[in-house]
Amino acid sequence: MIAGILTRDQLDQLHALVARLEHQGILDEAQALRDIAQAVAYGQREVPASFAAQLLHVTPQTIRNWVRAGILAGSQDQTGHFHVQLDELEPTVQLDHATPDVSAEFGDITDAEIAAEIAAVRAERRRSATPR
Amino acid sequence: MSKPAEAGIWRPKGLIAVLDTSTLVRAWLAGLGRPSPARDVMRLAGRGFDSFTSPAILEEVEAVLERPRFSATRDQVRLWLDVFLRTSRQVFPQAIPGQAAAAVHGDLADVPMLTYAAPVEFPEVAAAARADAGWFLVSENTTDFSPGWTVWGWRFTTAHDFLRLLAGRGARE
Repeated sequence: MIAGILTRDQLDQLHALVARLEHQGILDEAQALRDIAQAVAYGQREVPASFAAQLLHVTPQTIRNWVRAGILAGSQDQTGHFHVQLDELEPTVQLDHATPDVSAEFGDITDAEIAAEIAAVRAERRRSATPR
Repeated sequence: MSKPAEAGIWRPKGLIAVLDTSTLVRAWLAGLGRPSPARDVMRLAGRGFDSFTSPAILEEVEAVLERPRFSATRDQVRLWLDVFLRTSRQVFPQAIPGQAAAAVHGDLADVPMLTYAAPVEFPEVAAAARADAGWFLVSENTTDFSPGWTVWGWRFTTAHDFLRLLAGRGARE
């Protein structure tokens, strides 16, 4: 999503993600994406801090702090409102698009279970590295 | 009125983190449907902080998610990690000082995150942090690592605590 221009693939990706979010009941984030898509359609290069906050799962105040500190690319307008460059949000949209719908299957998995799977991989690696 | 920062060129964020295998696996398993500090941290890579990673960490994530317990396909995982890689900087094996991991005793010596945390002394990595910056290893494995433990200047933290740290960045005193 390069400032104000979306390729057909990127647009399809965005709409597919909105549909998935709505399907899972994540309506606020879906709406934020719709708002962003509309901003892109109007040729805007930035979106309000509140849109970015919704998408990045942080508070609008955090977004304002980050823009003010130069951590996030954006600007403050003459009325004092903060805006975030669309380019900053693109990786999050892409990552969400590539994220599988596995939460129902693994939502209750414990840290210990994950640690055990990681330990198994490391044990296999050690075994394969040990000369016989 | 003001324009604090422009996108397009890499600007050091003043804070560096390596997300370990447990964090990335946890992020994958959260999917879209559940709140997850691990996934939220991953989604902020390159925006709220500078993310460093390595082929060893990514390969381990692939290997874990391909295990029967999770049954992810390599293509799925690679597509997902590719996006993460675009927001991260990679540290390659040739940049690792010899036997660096030996400083960590026992089984921890083969933990990719620790092995790759060693190049913190390299100017390229160190230059990414400002004087007041922190270097963090974000891990959900609190059995082996205690939050707050420091190795070579890197501090262990959980995804949850790291998010709180990020949220406080840039706040006026």
